Amino acid sequence: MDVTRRGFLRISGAVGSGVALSSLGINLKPTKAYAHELDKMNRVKAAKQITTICCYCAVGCGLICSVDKVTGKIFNIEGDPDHPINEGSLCAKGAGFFDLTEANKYRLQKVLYRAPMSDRWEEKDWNWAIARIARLIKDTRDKDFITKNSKGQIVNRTESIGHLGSSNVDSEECWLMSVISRTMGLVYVDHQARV
Amino acid sequence: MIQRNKEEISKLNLQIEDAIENYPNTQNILRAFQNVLLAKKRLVEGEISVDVDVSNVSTNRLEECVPVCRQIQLFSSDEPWEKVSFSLIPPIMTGFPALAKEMKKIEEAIKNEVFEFTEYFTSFPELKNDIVLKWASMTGIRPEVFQFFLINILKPVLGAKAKKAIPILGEFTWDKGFCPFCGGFPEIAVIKDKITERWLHCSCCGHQWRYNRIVCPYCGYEAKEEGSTYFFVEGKDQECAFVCDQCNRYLITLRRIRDTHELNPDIVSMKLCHLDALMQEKGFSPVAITEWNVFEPEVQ
Repeated sequence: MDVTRRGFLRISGAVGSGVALSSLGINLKPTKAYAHELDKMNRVKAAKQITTICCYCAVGCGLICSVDKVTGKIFNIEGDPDHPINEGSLCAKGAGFFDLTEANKYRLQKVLYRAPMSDRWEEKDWNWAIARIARLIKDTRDKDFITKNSKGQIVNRTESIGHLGSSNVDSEECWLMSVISRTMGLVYVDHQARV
Repeated sequence: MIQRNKEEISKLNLQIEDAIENYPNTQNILRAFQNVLLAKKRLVEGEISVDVDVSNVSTNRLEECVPVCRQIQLFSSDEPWEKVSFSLIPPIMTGFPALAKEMKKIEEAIKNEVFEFTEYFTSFPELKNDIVLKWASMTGIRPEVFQFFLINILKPVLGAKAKKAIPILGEFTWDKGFCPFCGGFPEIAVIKDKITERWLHCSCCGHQWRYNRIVCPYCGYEAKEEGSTYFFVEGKDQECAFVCDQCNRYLITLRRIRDTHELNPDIVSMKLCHLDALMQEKGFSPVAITEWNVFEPEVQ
């Protein structure tokens, strides 16, 4: 039997050929009125579902993000059940993905600084923070930089600074951080990539 | 068995009452269909006995996406059409008082063996509208009422057959948007909690199958780059309507549902028919046309 897509489409049409309930004596006004009211009150929202890949580690799990069509903001992230790698499941880091978005009200949005021996945080601007971090790194590196080891071999390393990546650092940022760290001669570089 | 059926019926009744309580606007629709749904449930759960021989159904052809209804003839000459008709005519008369006279005429005609149901249903899925028109004019019944009656007697028989046949067929891959058993399109989709698989519920036989989250079940378009659009009512984002920008069809969808077995797709579809009204107002058409999701545009 030759089966075409057009043939299939006819099946549902034949079985469920549309009979409007109103023609069978059922009053549909309450439902229409309810729908109309929802629309009038602007309570009908439009969103988009977009597939993407988790940025954290090399596994590459599939995600589905729901995005508000008006604001363009993500309001839900879930595992993609049709993705061949994770089949809908996510690790603890992936499951907490949504908290990385701006929807998380606890997410830090300003630089906080605690001075040595202080018990409180101070708000600082980025220019101050970047200049201070650069200054401390430069001073520490210059003070302890080792060009040759005990055997006279060139090593060009800094042993007094270590770099620890956060679990919220993605793969691309990890690469950048490791390049920066090694450029400065750091040897103690670590990162929490997977749970 | 009888006890289990009673429990099922009482669950169904509770679901209907719950739906009416949450969506009072659907009271007219749910009350009209209440007894029809209960009668259909009783029929599918064992009041009718149906046979379906799937020995000639090839799993390979299923894997090639040829549904059972295209591989074998689903209906034979000894289907229980009369029994199903006599079980459904009284609840239709109660739920749809405007159709009472016409239902009475159909009942009489069946008793007088006016209709040759086998002639009509054995051509499934290519059902012939000219037979409906002929029978309707013979008995003085509006064609749309006759069509409504035929749909209602078809579904429980199809449902009982699907229930019997699908477990025998075993596991097979099916990645089409129409039903692997009867070829019908889904009336609703349910997205499960945790592992968020999308399950489609056939509008004809009630079978459910898993389907890709971002592919349109009607035209097969995959909205990978631009994403698939859906609409929902603020504060009720579990209930939404996914739309396809290619074919302009929509599918009512329930999201994050823990137990899909407890759901009756017909009741869910009826209680969310305000979404149908909204989508049709926006110019979209349903993926599957059911007895309750056709809203005529307002006459201005």
